[in-house]
Amino acid sequence: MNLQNQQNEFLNYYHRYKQVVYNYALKMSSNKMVTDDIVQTVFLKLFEHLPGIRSKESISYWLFKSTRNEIYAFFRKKRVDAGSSSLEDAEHVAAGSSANVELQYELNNLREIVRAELETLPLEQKDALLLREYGGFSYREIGEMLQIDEELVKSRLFKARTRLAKKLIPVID
Amino acid sequence: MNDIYNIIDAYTTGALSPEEEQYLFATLANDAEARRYFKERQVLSLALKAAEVPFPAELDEAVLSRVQGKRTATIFNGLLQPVYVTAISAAAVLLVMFLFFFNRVESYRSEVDHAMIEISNQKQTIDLLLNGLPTIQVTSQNNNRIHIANN
Repeated sequence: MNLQNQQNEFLNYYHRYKQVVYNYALKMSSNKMVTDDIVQTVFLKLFEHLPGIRSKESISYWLFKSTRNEIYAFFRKKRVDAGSSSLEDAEHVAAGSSANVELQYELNNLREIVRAELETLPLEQKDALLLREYGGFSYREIGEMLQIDEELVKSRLFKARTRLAKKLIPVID
Repeated sequence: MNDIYNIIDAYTTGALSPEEEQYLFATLANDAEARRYFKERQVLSLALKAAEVPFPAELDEAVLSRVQGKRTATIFNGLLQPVYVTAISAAAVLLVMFLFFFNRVESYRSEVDHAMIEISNQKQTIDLLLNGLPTIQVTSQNNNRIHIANN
């Protein structure tokens, strides 16, 4: 693969997955600066390793797996609890631009509520839920990524969803 | 865990066949607990979707510029591969040799030009000397003797 082709292919995957990878990393780390670093690192690695990735169908899996590894490496290095978050980050995340201020306000409100509720989930449940919702992975793929049994994935997802739904439905209704 | 939960989950990701969908809706019509879970799943998916944060423009810029930098570095590193290094070295040696021999040829050319001028000058001098000699007349006589006399 020549460099021009490699770059074109990279850009294709980058634009397709940047949003979901970013949201996964942000909701896992709860830290915007760390998320920015992780996303940059992961996509740079993708650019470097793209010629060596044989199955292009597994790019999404590769991206989420790498992002997850970076997040856990960050947790290990900094010895931070994944449940901790900073108000500054939340405010930064909430800042957006929209002509419709009211809608933006409600959206920011909802984001903040979801973020806060996600923080209350145990890390392993949150991880499985985000991989399912943002990555769109099957139970089997999540099981492989987390190195757990498929039934355990289902159980974690069920618990996470029930718990979140209990908090979110009254708010949204 | 009830199988209906997996079917509802598959429905939200669009992974159900038409037959499975038919089964799902038939179950939902008769099962209040399944309806409650179905609603929960829908709300949760929508909430998580709505809670997605837009990808920051500055991060977009940072990633793309770093990739561009990586690409430039890759091109440069590619030039440092042995085959390229050898080719570039050979080209440099050939260039030096070309300059050296070109210089030598120019030097010889200059010497030849100088020698030609010298020869031309000497020819003129010889012509002058020859022209400066007194003319003589050579005649033959009957007694087989040659007589040379100044004019």
